[in-house]
Amino acid sequence: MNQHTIESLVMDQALNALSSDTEELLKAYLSEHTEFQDMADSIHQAATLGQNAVTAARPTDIPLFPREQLVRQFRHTSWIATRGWKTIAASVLIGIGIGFVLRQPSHIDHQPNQLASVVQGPSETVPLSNGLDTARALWSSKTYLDRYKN
Amino acid sequence: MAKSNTPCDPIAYLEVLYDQHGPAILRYLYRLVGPRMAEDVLQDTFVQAGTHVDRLDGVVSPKAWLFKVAKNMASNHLRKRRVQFDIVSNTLVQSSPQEDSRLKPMRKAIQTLPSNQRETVLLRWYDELSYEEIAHVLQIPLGTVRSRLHHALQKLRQQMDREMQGTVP
Repeated sequence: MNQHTIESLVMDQALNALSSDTEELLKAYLSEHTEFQDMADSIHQAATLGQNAVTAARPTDIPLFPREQLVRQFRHTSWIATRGWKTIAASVLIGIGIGFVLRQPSHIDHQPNQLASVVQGPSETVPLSNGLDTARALWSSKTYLDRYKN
Repeated sequence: MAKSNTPCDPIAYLEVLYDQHGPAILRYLYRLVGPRMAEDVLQDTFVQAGTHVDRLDGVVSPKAWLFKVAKNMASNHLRKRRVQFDIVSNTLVQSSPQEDSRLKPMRKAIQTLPSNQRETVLLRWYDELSYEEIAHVLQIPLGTVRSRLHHALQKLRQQMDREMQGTVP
């Protein structure tokens, strides 16, 4: 093993990140190769000091578990998961039902087809405005005009 | 553990996690948002965790998952309040007259590390997360965690060696 590999392994060891097997092997290797001992000691010392330096300040008390908020949260979530979907499904069904009823033939005014007579060639010229007399168009301007006059 | 506990009673499961990891997450939040906001953010973290508790089924480490949620919650809080918090100041300021004289320069050395290395080092030493857990919290590959820690330790070691030789005032 070269210096770089040993150094990496020692660092992992100093950071407590080596498996026990690897650590045993490393210890055995270092005991045979004492030239790495200084380097290993220096790394371990830096790691220990570093760890001690950051573990000085630690809060000890923690606030109470937010049970109430979680209960509320779960209620809300379960409402969406059950009743929420049911409400949406019911609304869609009602919408489809209303649409179906409105599209029934009885709800549509069937007007005599004015175009048919035009295509077949009328015997006499029919003014375009005549169509408005028979057509009971809801927004017919003629209807409005008649209502206004009356 | 997560697989067996999650489905029955999510609130009870979260409470177990709160007892187990709450103090560690609070320490982490102390560092991220400061002591004033840390407790609120901790509670928000668990409320937020409650909305995604089903995701705990697949996670390797619930602790790492909660740390990640806490990190997101902390950054949301800071963004809302438009506050920048010094990640180190609240972790490293404590010192007492009886302590090892080398700790003070060590804290200084940690403060001078690049922020990504410093954060990784603190997650390892202060929060005691494993390499895998750090990778999950920071969303980086395991190799990156290892290399950041190695670079940081290398710098700290060099700094300490120089300190001991008296080259650094």
